[in-house]
Amino acid sequence: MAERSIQVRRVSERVKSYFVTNGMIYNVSNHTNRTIIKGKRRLGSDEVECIVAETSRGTSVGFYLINTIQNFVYAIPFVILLFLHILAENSTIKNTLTTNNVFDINFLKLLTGDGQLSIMFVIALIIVGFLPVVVEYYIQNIRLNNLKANFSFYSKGGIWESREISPNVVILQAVRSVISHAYVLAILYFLIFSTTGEALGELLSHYNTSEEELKIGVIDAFSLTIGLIIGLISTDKVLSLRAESAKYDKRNRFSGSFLERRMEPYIFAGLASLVTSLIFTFFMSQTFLIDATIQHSIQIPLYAVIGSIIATIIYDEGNIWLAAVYAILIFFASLIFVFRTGNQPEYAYIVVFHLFLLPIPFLIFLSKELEQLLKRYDIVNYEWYYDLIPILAMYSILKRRKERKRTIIEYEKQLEEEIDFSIDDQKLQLNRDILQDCDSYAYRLARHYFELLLTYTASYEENVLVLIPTSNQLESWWSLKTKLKSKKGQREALNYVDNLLWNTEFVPQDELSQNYELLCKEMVLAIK
Amino acid sequence: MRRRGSFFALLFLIVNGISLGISGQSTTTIVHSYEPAEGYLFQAYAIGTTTWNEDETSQIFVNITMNNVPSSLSKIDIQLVGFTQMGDVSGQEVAINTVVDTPSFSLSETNRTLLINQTLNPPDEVDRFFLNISILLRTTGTVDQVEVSTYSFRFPDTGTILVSRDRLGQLVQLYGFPPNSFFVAWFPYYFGFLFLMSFPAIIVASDKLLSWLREERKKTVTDEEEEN
Repeated sequence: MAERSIQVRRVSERVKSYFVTNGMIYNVSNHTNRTIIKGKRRLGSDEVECIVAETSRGTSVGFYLINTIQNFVYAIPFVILLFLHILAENSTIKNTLTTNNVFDINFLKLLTGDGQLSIMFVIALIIVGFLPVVVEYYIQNIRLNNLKANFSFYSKGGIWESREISPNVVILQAVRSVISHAYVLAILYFLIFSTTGEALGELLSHYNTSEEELKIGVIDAFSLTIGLIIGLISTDKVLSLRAESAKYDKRNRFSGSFLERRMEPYIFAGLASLVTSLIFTFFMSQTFLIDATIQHSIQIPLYAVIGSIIATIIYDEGNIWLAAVYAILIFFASLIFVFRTGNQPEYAYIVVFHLFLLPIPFLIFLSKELEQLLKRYDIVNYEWYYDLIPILAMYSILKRRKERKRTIIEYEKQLEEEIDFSIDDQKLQLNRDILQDCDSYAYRLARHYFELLLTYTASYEENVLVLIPTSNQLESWWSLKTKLKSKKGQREALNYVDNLLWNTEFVPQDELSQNYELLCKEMVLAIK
Repeated sequence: MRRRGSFFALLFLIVNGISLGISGQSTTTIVHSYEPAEGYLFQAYAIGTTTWNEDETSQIFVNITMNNVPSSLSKIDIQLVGFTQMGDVSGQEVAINTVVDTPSFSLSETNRTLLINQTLNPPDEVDRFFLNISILLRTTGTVDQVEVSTYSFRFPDTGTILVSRDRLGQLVQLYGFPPNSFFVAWFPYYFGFLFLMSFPAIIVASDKLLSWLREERKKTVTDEEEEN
């Protein structure tokens, strides 16, 4: 192991705890003249590198952003779309993609509608694909700057206020998942036009209509429902994201008149849904909605704003309300089309089609249940809301599980080592015979108890005198810190250890020690 | 009084029933006369109702009469009687449907009147229309002189025929679920996307299941120990 100066050690210890307070996991590597501490955010691809080095002018601390290449994951689907279109310039590949395949489906039409390779098409794909990448990079830079700016305050024990991310960036951050949701719905809506088999012909004869009329009908229904859905989802996501970023910012709560404070979320959410729907409409106008009129392209933002107003009203009510409103809006949209079926029979198809969209809101509701699971792993983040596949959330859970397993293994290893109890107490000395055997349950119990005590004392400031807590105090502190309910028998276990360590006349029983050892170990692991 | 009252009530019902039974008012056109030669008179008129029901056929009668047939004609054939439905489509009068009747009758001196009976369907395109009845006449002279002439007139003389449609039935027209081929093409993608969207739910469920299993295992282990 490389030699490090005391100053470098002290600073790197500071950086470690600083990373932890910023919701990061750290990884330390020591070199000859510097220490590198890598911090990973618990959710997301952010990775920050902190280099603590010894220089002639003193110890230098530098924060650097690494691993930004992961942000390009968001652009991959749209790059694939572009790549497919470029490949389709070759006639044989185009044949297999469009007509001669087993699936009886035109894949180009399935994924990009009637879009043809043109400048505007490429621009639309680039905007939708690379906007999240740029925004993510921008936000990562803001976080890095916050880290840099606040470290000196932190190391001196000062109070600092984290700068919130600008609302404009929050709006753009929400665009990604909303558009992916709307894009999937677009594929489902227009799927029938990309079939190359008899499906479309049979549908047309069944509903007594023509392809052009059906397409206009589908575009009509799509622009109505997708507008409302974009409004609903983008509002919920944007408001949650803003609440997260301005968690510590009290300025929002105590500024402006009552009316201003009440109206502000409506304006903010309306703006967000307007921006999202405009980007989506531009993308759609190059792909699925080429046949649409100007009326349709006005419809989508208009209904998005209406949807955002509805969503802002119900924002505080919870997930199930959102799911129900989503379903109700789809239902009412199809109710409008029922009365158009008289003259335009193509709407009869849309009414039936909308029935099949009704399970989707309840799946979304289930996906928000993931929030509870993430909270159990100490991850409070809303970036993954409404993602089609919340890869980052899933990955962070796995990461956290692995980390927990590692701490358990490390703790188990620690238990095998001999310790010398640092508390010099006359009465403690008397019972030492029992505590000598490393394999005994009494020894392990004492280890757990000291671990709990050490974390308890460590949670206070250095220069605050901490008395040894009673078992009641210890338990209430534990349940406060872990946000878990105290289990049955926990207090008895703590009392038992208390007696074991300090009561000279106490005779430990093996069976009880074994049971209480499990309980105490769980307590320690929950804190770790 | 009671009897009289019930009698009137019954009468009222019967009259009402009869009037309900009549689907439309029957009208007759004025007699259209043509004079192909001096003294020779060719007359025609049509009878029919001016309100036609949707999805029902309506009858129209055309009565053709011949007077003062000159001796120079040996035979008069009515080759065609055409019924053309004329409707107002986007501001222009357009022929929508044409039904042609070919009566194999010939009018001689003995048979001077001809009654043609034609059933017609109301047009789908318009609600108001009129009929253009045209007659193609072929006269044969004594010296094999063949002459063809056409006459046409309007039914009704003024106004139009109204197609009465069932508005309630037209307002909502649902054709049920799509055919099976649609579901064969659509369901794989639909369920695929539903599966993708339910990924978080699957994770939550698996986590809950795993923790439940862990607790169950713990319980069984402690039970076994207790038994031992």
